[in-house]
Amino acid sequence: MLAYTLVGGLLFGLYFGLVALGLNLVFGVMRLVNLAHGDFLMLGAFAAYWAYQLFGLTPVSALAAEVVIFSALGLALYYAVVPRLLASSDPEMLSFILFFGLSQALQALAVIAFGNNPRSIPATVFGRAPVRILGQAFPAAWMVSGVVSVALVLFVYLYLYHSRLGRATRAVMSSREEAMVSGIDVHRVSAAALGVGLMLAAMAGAFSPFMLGSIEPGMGTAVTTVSFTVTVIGTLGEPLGTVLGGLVYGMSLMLMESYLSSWANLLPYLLLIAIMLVRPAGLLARRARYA
Amino acid sequence: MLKAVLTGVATVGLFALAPVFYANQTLLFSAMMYLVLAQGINVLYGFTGYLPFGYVGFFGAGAYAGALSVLRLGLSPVLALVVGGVVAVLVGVVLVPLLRLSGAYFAIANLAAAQALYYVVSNPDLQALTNGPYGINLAVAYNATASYAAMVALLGLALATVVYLRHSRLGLALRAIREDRISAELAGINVVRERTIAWLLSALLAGLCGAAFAWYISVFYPETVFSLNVSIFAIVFALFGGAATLAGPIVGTLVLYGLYSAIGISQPEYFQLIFGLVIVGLVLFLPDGLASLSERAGFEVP
Amino acid sequence: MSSEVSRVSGVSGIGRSAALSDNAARLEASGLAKRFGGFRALDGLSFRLERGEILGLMGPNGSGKTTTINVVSGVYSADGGEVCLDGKPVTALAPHRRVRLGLNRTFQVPRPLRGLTVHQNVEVAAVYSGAGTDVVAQCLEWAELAHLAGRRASTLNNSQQKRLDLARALATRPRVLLIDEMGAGLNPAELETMAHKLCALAEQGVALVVVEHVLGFLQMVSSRVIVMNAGRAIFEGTVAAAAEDPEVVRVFLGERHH
Repeated sequence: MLAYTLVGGLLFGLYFGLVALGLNLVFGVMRLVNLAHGDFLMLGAFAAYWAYQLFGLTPVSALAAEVVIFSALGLALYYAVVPRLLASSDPEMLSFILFFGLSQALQALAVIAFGNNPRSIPATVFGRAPVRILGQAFPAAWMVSGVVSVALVLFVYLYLYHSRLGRATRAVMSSREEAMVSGIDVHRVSAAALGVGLMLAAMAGAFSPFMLGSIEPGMGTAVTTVSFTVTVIGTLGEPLGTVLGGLVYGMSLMLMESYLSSWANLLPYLLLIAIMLVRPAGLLARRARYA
Repeated sequence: MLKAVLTGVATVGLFALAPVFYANQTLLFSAMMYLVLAQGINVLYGFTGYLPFGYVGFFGAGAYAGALSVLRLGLSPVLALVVGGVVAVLVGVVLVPLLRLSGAYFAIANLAAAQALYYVVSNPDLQALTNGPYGINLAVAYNATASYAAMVALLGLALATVVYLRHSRLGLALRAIREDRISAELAGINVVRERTIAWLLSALLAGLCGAAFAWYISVFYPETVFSLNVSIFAIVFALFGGAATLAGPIVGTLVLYGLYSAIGISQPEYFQLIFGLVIVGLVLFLPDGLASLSERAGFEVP
Repeated sequence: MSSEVSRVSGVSGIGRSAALSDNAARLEASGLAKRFGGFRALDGLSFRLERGEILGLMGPNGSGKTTTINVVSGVYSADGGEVCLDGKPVTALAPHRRVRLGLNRTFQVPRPLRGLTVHQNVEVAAVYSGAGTDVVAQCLEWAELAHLAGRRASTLNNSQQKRLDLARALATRPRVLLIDEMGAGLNPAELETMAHKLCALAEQGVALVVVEHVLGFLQMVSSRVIVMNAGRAIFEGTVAAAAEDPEVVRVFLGERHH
């Protein structure tokens, strides 16, 4: 039981890290809380569902299409609203409300387009044979999700630390003003970050049928809350910290579900509140955020 | 001040007399309920800048506390309303530390608190106390007329609270805090104390409102009274009309709830779409709501 | 002007213990320390200020002048040291409590309550500090803002906002007033008027600390200045003597060569 819980917690933890990674990247670069993050994940899940239904593609093969669609969506969204928001009187609060409105609109559009019926992709799409680790059997889909998550985290690492755009991105993250005066094109960097952020959310969505449950238009709100929890545990504005947040969250979730299942639903919320109040800057604390 | 009082009296009078002319009492009741909640949000957001995304937590706490005190303690419904208000204030006291968080962090932490409360109340392990996920049946106390009257009174209370805040030193202090916390402190304002008062006042209104709702509706489930939609509606209604005014949330609620009752019940997804787009448009083009339009035209909004 | 010049280094020198005695200073700061991460913004600063006195605070950018005001007014909590008002320690008090005891400050970049009217800005300070609404009209008059009383603070220009900031502080009936960079952005005529107003306040018994870059302004208002560098006092004496002090000169030139 414990071995199962730990390995399962690791796989889920890696996946939750991926789920929240885009939210944290966007926050780190623009100081905006993307409340529609979970809804983009939902759209990514539907994209994977239709890729499977119409063309028989597995979620892994569908990723290529998601990269194109969602990074383009992110760039378009950036130039449509963000510069205007950042120039407003209270960017933090107004963006919070705006992205919330966007979340509502996306949920409604998803209902109009796809209906309210829950959808799923059969877990056997990655083969029927379970993967055995430490004598425990795990669905192959969990393994694939874990591996894809690691690959995408690696991608974000390379992007941030081994590319010119990434260096500029980190400069903007540490100080927008300084980056601006040192000649960095802040808008280009931020637009790219929103593109990557949405792309990561959508890719996480492709595996949600195996890790989060069925695909539904309304799933985004809970996903956003979980992402926010993971992000806060792993330190806001510190994209790679998200991985740590995901692992802590995944492990705790598996432990709760194994040993205290009826209260497991409470976990993300209580963790979120507790960490905000007790260790407001996250586990890798540097900045405080008190009023 | 006079204009504000007249606006308030007219609104309350309208809802008090409306059942005589209009048969759909439940619609009127819901409109009043959202008016009270929108003003409750207004007390907090309009005057302090804290956006309580989990406002529904107080509403749900009030609904459950009121209903359970009738069912388990045999209190009269009117007394149960008071219990609902008091319990919501107690929840508010527990959550006071959240006020240390700013902006979006507060909003999200408050949302998380409301969700946590929902999962506690609806937990099957607590069935003996709250009846868990199976909800509440308050048919023993059902009285549509009396509970409607209670909501009218509550509406009066909510409007009076906002009028008071707009014309009292407490309201001035809260607006100072909202503008700039440090400058407010240097004006001698005890920021922690004043904002706590606004927070608890706002909780009280939602708690009373929840208990009145429970009394009127009589049968409900945890997901009814802890639905995130309740917070969302109240917030958007208040913002749409214009926070920190009395008339703004009234106009916002009447317009948007009218829209909701016209299309939202038969085709919720189309309402939600319009709603979402209204919010986006509001932030981008009219961040201070309809009230700012009228103020630009030179008409002061009460 | 007195020619009394004393060199101080860090805590020793002017930093006497804050004893509760008859001759307690109006404001006494001893051993003030403030760190931001590894950076020591204040590193053992001490000074005293008597009733009706105007003390100038000079130093290059980042030397700790504004941090001094922030720590004394309670906007930042001190990491070490003590602030006493009339011999009573206020170090542990929240800013609004210090305001009610008669300690107030202005800002280098004024931060009025932008959505409120000029009158409301002053009124809220008068009411909540316990001074009472009687002082509002008087403070608006003093700051030459009476004709703008009904305007939103956000519509004021820089000079008007600076005067509103002062009026807000004065409406709390301060005994000690800390003024951060009054001169920046004011024209010479405005500077002179402001200098006269501050001197008049001092004559009424208000003790002032004036942080200033504009040397001419300091010369008009204060007989005694402290020069700060790296969070410490490196010089205390007259403005004229400061200009001739080799270390002060080195510090300021160092800034220019930077």
